[in-house]
Amino acid sequence: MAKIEAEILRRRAPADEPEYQAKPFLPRKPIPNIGLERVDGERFYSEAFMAEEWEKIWTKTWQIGVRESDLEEPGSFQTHSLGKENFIFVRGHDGEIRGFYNVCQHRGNQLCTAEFGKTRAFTCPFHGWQWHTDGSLKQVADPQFFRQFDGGVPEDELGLEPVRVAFWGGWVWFNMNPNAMSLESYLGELGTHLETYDFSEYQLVDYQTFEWGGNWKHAVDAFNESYHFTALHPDMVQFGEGHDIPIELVGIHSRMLNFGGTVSEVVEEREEMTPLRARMMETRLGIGADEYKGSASDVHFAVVEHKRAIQDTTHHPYRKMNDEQLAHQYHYTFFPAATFTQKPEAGNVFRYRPHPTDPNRCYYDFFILVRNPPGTPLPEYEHRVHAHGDAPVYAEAFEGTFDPILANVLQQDGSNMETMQRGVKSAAFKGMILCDQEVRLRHFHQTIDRFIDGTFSCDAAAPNQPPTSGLVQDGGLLADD
Amino acid sequence: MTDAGEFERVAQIDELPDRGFVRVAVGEHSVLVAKLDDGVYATENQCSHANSALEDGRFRLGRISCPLHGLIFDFRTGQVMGGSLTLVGLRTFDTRVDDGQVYVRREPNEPRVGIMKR
Repeated sequence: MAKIEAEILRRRAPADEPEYQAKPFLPRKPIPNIGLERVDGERFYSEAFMAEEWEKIWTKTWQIGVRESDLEEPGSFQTHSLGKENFIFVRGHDGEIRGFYNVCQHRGNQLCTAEFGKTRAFTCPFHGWQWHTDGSLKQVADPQFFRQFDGGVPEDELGLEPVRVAFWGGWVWFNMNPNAMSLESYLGELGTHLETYDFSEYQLVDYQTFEWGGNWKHAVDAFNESYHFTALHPDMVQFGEGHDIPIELVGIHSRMLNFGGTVSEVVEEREEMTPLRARMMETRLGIGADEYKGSASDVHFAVVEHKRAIQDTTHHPYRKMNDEQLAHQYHYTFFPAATFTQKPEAGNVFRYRPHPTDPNRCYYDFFILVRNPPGTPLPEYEHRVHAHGDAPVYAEAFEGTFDPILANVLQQDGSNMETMQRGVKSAAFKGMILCDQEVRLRHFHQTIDRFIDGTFSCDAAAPNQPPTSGLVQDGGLLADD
Repeated sequence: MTDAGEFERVAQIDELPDRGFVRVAVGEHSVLVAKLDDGVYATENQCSHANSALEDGRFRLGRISCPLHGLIFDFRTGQVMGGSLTLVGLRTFDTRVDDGQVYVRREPNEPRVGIMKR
């Protein structure tokens, strides 16, 4: 148990705590023993494994697409790529948001090349075939040239190919499997927890994509444990605790609690309010160093007290949240590729995407969302893409939207992608040895294996749907069998 | 130096929306005029690819997207920002603001050619 955890439990009066929709982590549940085997390196570079992932996971599970708020007007659309596919998400002139594969039904040309826009109809630039914003065919150019259409143009056959969409948290999610279980069932218990943040009230202020020279699973793994904080992020241990934290595996998803407003127990001196600690506590937690006289390791208690005191007058949903949510980061990952790192006032969403053809590359999408006061005009963000080899300085890329210290932390996370990709291919690498603080990685790779070997199916009618609620027990996902 | 007679008054500055543009006529040209954070800009209301009107397109971050095929142009320079359908930008018009009145030069500038680097 971490020192901060013992201190929280010592001061907590559980009998006074109401029942909250997001269940607190503390007191910590034991991390289940789901095995000790090494995780092989081949899964990170094998093209055959990549093909299996595409067929059994990416095309079968729910993925984050675009923000609903970017489709505010009839005809407004956004396009988005996942692997070899590209999709159009559009608000039709009937007001409904739909998703389509971005493919002309005539010759297979990518229909729309813009990432955003507004249109009355999608027009293929090649021969001029057109579709309405509800996906139905508007016109074939010169249908008299097609013998196939002598009996009339078969409009039902020629509509744009739909992709299933569903809405949660202000996001349009999509699933390439038309028969998939509902998004709500898929997100399960952890989805219910996160509803306390009212994500649809959040505004997207920045969205950047980094093309990294590593497999997408290295990126997922990079963010799903905090055991690396001490070595990789020397700044972060000054204003948070990731060294020894509560982790829960919930069905195929998982969550962890990164403590904020404290100094890590790996730091010898934890009391003094140094300039770095003061600055981060002020900017991240809203507490001015001059109004706080306590120990640097106890700031989180003052944060909870402050937020409880204003919970009836603020636009933030503090009232619905347990104490942990008020002061610390709730870090949730939905299998396979969506991570929410949450504070009540703001959050970062990570989306991981495979490269269309190369297992040695991936796309890491970083979204910054802020809960602004009601009535704030929607910020105009620019989606910037940093191609592999651009070598961006993250603190410059995020100037104005993200604290430079945290942007630098992200740069440190990204710095391992190419070296991991190289290392796991070495003859000297015998497989990853994962500790309990890395159990989310083990669980993630086991889940991938269960999808690939057919143990799980996300079909709505399948008897072997994956669990999406309930704590995983000793033995792992198949322990009940 | 340009002659004041080369410019035509098209709007009052406070008639320009914070986000978006107005369509005006300048001689025989249909022109879109927008107020951005660093000044007032004007481009021809006609896509350089298939000549469709741009006025129904989406305007965002100082860019306009063509409603026909989705080409995106930088509103300040008229340059193409995305898509590969054309390298030819939009024709832009010089503007000036005097005493709250917006003026657009009657003669367009030659379009820039090439994809604008972001």
